[in-house]
Amino acid sequence: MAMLDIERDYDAIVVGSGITGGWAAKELCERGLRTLVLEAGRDIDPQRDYTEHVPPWDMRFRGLGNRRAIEARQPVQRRSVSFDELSHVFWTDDVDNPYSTPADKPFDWFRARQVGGKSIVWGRQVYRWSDLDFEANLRDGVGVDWPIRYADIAPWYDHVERFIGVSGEALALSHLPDSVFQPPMEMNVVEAAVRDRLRAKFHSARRMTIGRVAVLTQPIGERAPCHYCGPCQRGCVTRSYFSSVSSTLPAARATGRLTLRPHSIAHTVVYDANSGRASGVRVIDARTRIEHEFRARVVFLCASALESVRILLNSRSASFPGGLGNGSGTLGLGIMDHIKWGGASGVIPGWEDRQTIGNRPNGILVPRFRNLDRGSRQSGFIRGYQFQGGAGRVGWEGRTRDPGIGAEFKERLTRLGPWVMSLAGFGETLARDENRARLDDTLRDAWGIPTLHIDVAWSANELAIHRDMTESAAEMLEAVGARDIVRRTRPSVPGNTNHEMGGARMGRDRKSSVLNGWNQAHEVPNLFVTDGACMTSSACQNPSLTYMALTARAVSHAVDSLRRREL
Amino acid sequence: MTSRRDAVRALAGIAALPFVRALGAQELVEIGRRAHALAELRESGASNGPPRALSAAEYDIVTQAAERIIPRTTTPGATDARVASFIDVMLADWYDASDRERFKAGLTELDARARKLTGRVFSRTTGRRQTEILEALDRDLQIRRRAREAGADDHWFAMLKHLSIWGYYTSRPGIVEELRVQLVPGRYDGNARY
Repeated sequence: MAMLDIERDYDAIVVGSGITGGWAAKELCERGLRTLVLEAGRDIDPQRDYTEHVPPWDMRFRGLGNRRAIEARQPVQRRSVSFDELSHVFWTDDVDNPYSTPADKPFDWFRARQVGGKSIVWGRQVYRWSDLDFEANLRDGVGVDWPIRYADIAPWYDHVERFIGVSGEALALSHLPDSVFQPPMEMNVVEAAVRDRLRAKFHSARRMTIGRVAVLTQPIGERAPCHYCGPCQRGCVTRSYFSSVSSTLPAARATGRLTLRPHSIAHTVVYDANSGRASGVRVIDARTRIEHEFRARVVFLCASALESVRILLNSRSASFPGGLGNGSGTLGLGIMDHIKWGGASGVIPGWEDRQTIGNRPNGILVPRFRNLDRGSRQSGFIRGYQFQGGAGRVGWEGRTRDPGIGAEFKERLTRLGPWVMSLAGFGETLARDENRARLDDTLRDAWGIPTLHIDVAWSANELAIHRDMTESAAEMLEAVGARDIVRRTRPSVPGNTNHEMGGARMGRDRKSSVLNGWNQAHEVPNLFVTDGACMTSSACQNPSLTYMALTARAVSHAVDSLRRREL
Repeated sequence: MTSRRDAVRALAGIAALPFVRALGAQELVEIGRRAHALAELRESGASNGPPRALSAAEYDIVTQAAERIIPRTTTPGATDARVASFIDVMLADWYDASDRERFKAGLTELDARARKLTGRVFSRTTGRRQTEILEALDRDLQIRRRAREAGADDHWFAMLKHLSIWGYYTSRPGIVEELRVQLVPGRYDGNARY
């Protein structure tokens, strides 16, 4: 780190190349800005790095993973649902990238460092927010009010969805607005029966629909429709699911204005006190360990929620001793995730002569049905949750502990078991200031950069939501005639849903928030934060679609402001 | 040694992204398989060499025991699926030394049980006798499991049975011929005949 090498100027710098970094790069380049994307990890070549078509028999541990190596180097990352024997290369090394928590408050911080970031391993479920969500904090007096409403973001949802491709079914629900849809994926025969029975029992109060997913059912340009191979977390050579690698980065590159610099670990946004602006970004080259500074007229932080918070906290100066843009003292406060795993599963008798063919990268959705209106108001908690899930037949994996050996045993293992329907809840987390991230004074990563101390726990409201998920899932399964219902009662560890967000929230004034209604730092007008860090509340929908829409909207504002010479 | 660069070059002709849409499911599988296999060879060493955790005699016991657990019927069995080779990799590279030693001690016990019953080592006894011995071990395992005995699943026979099943149903014959699963069907049918 002895050398400091100041490099040529760009119009814009984007830190991170994941879901939001890719969008920032595309929009900035297409609006004419020479854009530098700084990515902490390696470059990705789909033909070399994607392994979704490797059959189990070609895996050294047949899907069980390299246990010794993983326990040594990825003890946190392994807990992600998208972590497997081959996809583990898309998750970070926990030894090189440490963080701390209070001993009694575990937090799973799942991180991806490569071109494309977590957009390679994400869950691909995409749901719009509505004013039920944007007005929630104001209505409940929790946290701060969102500075935007649905009408502000709706056209940007359209813009993003047309480009990424979203398959799903239109329901015309006011609290879960429809996206611009490609044809929906198919429910299997048992899911369709469960949907019909739910309709008979609950009418329109509890709907069930196919998941809304950023996986194509119709081609877009060079991107092919899904061919149902299944393990999306290992990549997609047909570019059927949306990722930065498959979609936004190629679009940015096509403008001729993109410079992508892998192995560039950003640690500081440089602040120029004279101009009151960010002047650039400092990185450490992961391979040479040489420090570089890049300069630009506008900076977008898209490093993932907690990484962006970390960079801002590390960007201390005489003007901002508590971290860049932190005059409010709220930087790092209000970390959220979705509480999950409340739910139930049960056997649906019948259809023993039917099976599914193909691995559908999608499940079903039960949109939120609690606290929508007076009629659905709950006394035990505010906000709500949605269910994802699906039906399938139990295979041999579920019966390896059955008694027996020999020909008859083999025959039993091979035959498909009964249909099991499962419902798994994803619940809203309140933005509470006591859930926070700060710099750890003693802990540094492998490149000497101070890392985070993350202090997050569920509150009574999240735990009440979780209990209700379990009970209502069991109630719905009973209503559709399920047998052997198993309730899931243990809440997830915070962070495990990988929907971590907040820490540099948007708000209406600089006293109570870091960012304004354009994702722009109140105190540093040419600095934008458009990843999950900006979130003011969490809703219960999977958040990436909203991050993308906010990013495209923020770029539009930034470029307009630059043209008006306001930045 | 094949480098990743070579692997990519070998595929470049057929897998350039713009043409991917025109490829069939089997070709996609082939691209993924070849890219991975070439890179893997360099990293892990081929697994076709002699066993690394097991002696030749032990390998023989494992092969025969796995075949009794998942025998060849009208479809392939554990031997056809080279289950013993998978178990050897697991013992060499996945389990801890203590697990490996416990497993190997179990193979010695299999021989002892066979000698007591037939006067011959396990691999020299008949298939029927082998099945008898393994069925007795399986009954004991079920009793321990029903009693929720701590460590029941760590018993060497629990390991042998589990690894035989896992190795078989993740093998090419297990998936393609026994389960008849199409890994990349190119479509989704949620209401197919079974």
